[in-house]
Amino acid sequence: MKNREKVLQTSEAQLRTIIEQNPDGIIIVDKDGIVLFFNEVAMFLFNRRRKEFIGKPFAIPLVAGDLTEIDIIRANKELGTAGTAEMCVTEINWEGKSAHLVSIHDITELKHVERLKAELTERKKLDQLKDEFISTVSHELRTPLSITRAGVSLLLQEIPGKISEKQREILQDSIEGIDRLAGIINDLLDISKIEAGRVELRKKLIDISSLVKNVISFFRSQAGAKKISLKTSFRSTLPDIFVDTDKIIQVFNNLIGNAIKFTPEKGEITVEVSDGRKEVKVSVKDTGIGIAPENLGKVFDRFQQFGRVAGSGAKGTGLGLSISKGIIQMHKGNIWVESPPTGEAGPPAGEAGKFGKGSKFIFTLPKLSSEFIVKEYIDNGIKEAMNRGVKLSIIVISIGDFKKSLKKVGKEKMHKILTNLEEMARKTLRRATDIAVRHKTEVVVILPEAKKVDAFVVKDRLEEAIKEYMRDLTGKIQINLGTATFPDETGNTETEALINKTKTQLEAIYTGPERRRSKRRRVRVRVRIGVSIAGKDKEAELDYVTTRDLGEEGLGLYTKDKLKPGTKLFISIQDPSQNIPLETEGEVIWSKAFGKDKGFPYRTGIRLKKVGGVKSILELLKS
Amino acid sequence: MATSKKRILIVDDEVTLVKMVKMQVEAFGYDTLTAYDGQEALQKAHKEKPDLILLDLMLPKMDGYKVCGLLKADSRYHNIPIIMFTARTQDSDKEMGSECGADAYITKPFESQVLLSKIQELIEKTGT
Repeated sequence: MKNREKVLQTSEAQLRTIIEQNPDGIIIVDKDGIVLFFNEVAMFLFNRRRKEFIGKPFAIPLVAGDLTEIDIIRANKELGTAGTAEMCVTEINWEGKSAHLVSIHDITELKHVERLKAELTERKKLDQLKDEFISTVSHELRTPLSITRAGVSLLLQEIPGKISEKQREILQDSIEGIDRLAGIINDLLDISKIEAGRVELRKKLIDISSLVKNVISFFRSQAGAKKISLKTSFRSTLPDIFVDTDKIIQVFNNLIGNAIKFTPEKGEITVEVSDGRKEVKVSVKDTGIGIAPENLGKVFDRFQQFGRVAGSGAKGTGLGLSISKGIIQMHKGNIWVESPPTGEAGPPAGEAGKFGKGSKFIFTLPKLSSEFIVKEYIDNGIKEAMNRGVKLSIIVISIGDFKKSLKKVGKEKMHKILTNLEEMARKTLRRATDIAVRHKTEVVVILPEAKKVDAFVVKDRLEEAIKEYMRDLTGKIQINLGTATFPDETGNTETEALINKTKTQLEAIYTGPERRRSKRRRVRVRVRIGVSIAGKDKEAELDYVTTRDLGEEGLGLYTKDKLKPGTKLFISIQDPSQNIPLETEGEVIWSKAFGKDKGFPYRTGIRLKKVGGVKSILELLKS
Repeated sequence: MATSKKRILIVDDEVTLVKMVKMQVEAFGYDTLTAYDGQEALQKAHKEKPDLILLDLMLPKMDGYKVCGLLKADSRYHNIPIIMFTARTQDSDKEMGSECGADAYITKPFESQVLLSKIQELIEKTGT
């Protein structure tokens, strides 16, 4: 008996717990709308105290089976906070009478998130609209601009009739104005695309020092006109960077263009590139008017041209720096400016040159590991292949029996071989989208949108180049080439899988030269360099040649000068044992400092032209 | 080779621009044909077989990509070089242009010298 009571008590307690701890509010309302029962949560959701609830009207019309949203006031602080709840009404029997069971589920937070989401979509839609608007406006602006430019240009060319010098001057000014406007439109398009996140980078591995050199040479005359000296400063050898070349050039153009604009005559601009641990740092320093400290934070904002007073010449659009910032950030780099404080309020207009401490714009670009680059490039290629139904081919250049070869040639030489192979592969590539990267102990060549046949064309070219290079390599080393095409040969989307696939069809393309010293012999040689001018072969005698060495592959000479590989030579060889010299042609394969003989410091390797059907010159001489 | 002047079809819906380009191209020493919408461009290209087409992108009735694509897909006309006027190089415009097979792109507004060198380059390439 007692036991039964206990069980009853326990289950009642359990029931109460379930009701009280339930996160939803539970209320029982009779047919007259009077509250009969409620739980804690219900009190909270309606911000009512116990005596304000029980026996009082519920005040919300109830229909059984209804699911409605109601406004609630959650008990929070004095007055409570407004919220939203979902109310579910069911008909039940309560103490023998029909009543309503009202369950209240708080959806305030859910509603809030929904609202945020809607706002976000709305904002995105707005952004897109803005983006489309800007592109359309740009297109629309361009047409009348084209008409105006074409018209002025026709007048300038005197196509409709002669013009006076004064007229020419005015028209020339007009064209400059039109081009400036076109520049602004381009910048607006750029910035809108960057801000909408709709710029896709076309990254490639590039040598930043040659990029800087190119950019600098482009600005030479502009700087020269203002007698500004344009200097570069590179620290040692720089690593290649993986960037969108056109975009980075745009950044350089902006920074150097600005520097020239804001640097007075006879000033100095220095472009410095340094190699950090994780990044490459580039800076453009000028001796111009500088930027007032209070404006330093704002220079990358749009349409900010304060503080820096342009001298004569074209005005900017005020967008260049924010575009540059966008581009650098897309590359996961940083850009900032340092300008020595002037100690005074912003430099007043018209006083350019007074604050000649200059400014320095600095940006960084992350150094990415070859693994990362190979992976990203192959991933992108595979994605493209799947999305657009194109192919992706890769070629892997590897060294046969790497460990053994390494032992044979040494670490340093192996590093050089790999670097040379990488460089050679790069020179072989013709399309801008193709890249060649050293990946561990191999060189991976990635050819997006290339079919198997295309890959073979590249492979043939590569083979040729490698064979040429290997002629100069002493020591026995084998180089292998393998290709693979996605999805033809493997559907696996993993980078490593594709690389491994190339291993299944390796082809050894060259085994190092074997020296046949015994077969070499001394000969007398007369060598002339052939110069082809207007189809006629003119010859200049190369009389500064000393000891010569004839082998099966060609001719070795000691020369006064370093000869350019590929130089065509006319050679007459006379074996001491024979009287009649043999006339043949050859080509310089390599020429390098030797240093043994001061008068003839270079050793030059020449490949002789094969003489019809005969195996080698040596044999010919013997006969 | 016959000494008759090469003919260039200029396509743009902007009448004034067509007028200007026509004067410019004629000053270069070429004969011109004109069209003001995509369909007209296609008809004129079929009928007249010009030596080169200057094609704007945004055209009524049929856009420049389509005109270009249709001509380049047709073995009778695919040899006619097409220069497209684009908003900007490196734009998606250019990508689409290269997909439809245009031979060159010129950014609006263009410099007459750029236009001339592109025309010469393409006409010489196919002209002999």
